[in-house]
Amino acid sequence: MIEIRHLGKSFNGRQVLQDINLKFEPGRCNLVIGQSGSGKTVLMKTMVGLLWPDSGEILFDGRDFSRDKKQEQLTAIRREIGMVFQGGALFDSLSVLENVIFPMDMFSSLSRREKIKRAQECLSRVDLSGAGKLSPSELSGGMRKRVAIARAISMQPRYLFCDEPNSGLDPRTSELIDALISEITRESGITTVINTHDMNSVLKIGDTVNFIYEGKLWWQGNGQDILDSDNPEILHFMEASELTKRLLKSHRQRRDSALRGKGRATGLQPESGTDPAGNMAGPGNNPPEKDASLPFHGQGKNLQRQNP
Amino acid sequence: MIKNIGRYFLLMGKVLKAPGNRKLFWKQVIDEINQLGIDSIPIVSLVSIFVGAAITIQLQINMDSPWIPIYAVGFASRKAIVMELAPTIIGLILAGKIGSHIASQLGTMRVTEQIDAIEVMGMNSASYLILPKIMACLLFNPVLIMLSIVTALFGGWAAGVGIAGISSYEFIYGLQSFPHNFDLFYAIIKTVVFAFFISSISSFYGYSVQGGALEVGKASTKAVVNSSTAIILSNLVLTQLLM
Repeated sequence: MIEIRHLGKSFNGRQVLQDINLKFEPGRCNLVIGQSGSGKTVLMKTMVGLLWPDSGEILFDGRDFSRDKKQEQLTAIRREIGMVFQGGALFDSLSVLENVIFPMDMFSSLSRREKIKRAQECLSRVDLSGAGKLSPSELSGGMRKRVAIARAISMQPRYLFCDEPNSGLDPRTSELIDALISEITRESGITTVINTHDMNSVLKIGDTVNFIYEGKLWWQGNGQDILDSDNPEILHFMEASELTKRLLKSHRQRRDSALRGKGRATGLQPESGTDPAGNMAGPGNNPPEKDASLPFHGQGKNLQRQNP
Repeated sequence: MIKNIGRYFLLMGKVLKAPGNRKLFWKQVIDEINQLGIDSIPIVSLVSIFVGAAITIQLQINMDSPWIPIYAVGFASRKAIVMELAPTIIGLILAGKIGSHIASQLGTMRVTEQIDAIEVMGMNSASYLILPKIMACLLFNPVLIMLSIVTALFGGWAAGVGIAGISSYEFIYGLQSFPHNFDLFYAIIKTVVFAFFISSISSFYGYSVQGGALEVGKASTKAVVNSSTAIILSNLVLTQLLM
């Protein structure tokens, strides 16, 4: 579990993150959403140690990850982190296989043969078994992201961070990437944090969704709660996309009809085997279930009233 | 300017640390020697041959006097080539070639988050990326300068014999006259200092890039300009100290 307490960060006097308090549970896809410039990338970079917070604490399973700790302690935590960068951040000078082997070359005492075997397993996991000899420049955007995921999981991390894993990808490839991250998270029980502004991802894999607005944690809920949220900033964020706008409209009509006891007659119910977004059910497409352990249900938890 | 100098020294503090995996480090050094050194051989040879030839012709024209023996052209060519042409002029050529290569490579790695990826893995990215480049330059630039001296002397000989009408015997006699081993030592000391400046200053500008492709281009230009300035200034200081 990753816990953030009272995190603050500013650049040149401009407060980018203010008093962020968050918990990211293991085995779940923890999403951080928000508009560009809202502070979510700064939050992720601060969590992985690329930036240092001005105030507050970040705890990785109770272990404090802050600048004043000993280098060995920080390095030990960092070696349990896998990160998928927005553009993949693959090393151009290395082949795909060597990219995946790279972290093992640095930190593992495995023999060369064992490293190659494990790297091939990771590539096979992301469905790129035959791509080992290719160079990153020969890969498509989606393939680059999948290689980045293979590299991130090659050292069997406890914490996986994905910075906008779907940006620049077509909807079909985005769906594959989402399904892959979701499967890896559930199978390995790792703590996964995903930065995104892709509403498909939010609805499909958002076990926990944290909405950041103007550097503050504004709303918490899950991928289904968000459709029922009455938070104006959330609505503004979601309605920027025409598809999401229509989905919201349809969802509200259905909800209102249900409330009036006329729900089944409207024809707005999703077909059998589809989720509320109309997507086919299938591996990785299952909408997240509500979790009774969460302190919020239904419309999520508006936090801006607590943090004006 | 002062802020940049401070940041440069802070970066060097991070860079000059013992590498974690020595085997991998030396493999990287060999790769860098290949990229930065071996690939520079053609340009170094080409420039040296023609500048050596031009120096010899200039000397022959300016020393055309019955009071000056003809072999003095060979002697003066050797002095000029060993002490200034090879280390300084070739140093400036290498600042352009190696400096822009290093700065653009590291700058691109920075803007595509490859350096961040190395940091997130818990590695000292500065040391991992920059130290092999510095080591490769320190080890291989003296070899390039030796090559430059040989090719420039050959160019001088060819121009002296073929164009300036000096006999081969007199030119070679001049080259061998008044041997002074310290000249070569002086050239190597300058080369090593210049190699450090070229590799470290270029790495600093590449590693510190913030922004996108435009900033990578700017960093590359700054790397070449500042490396060249450092070479010219340190040349003066070293000449004063060593001569």
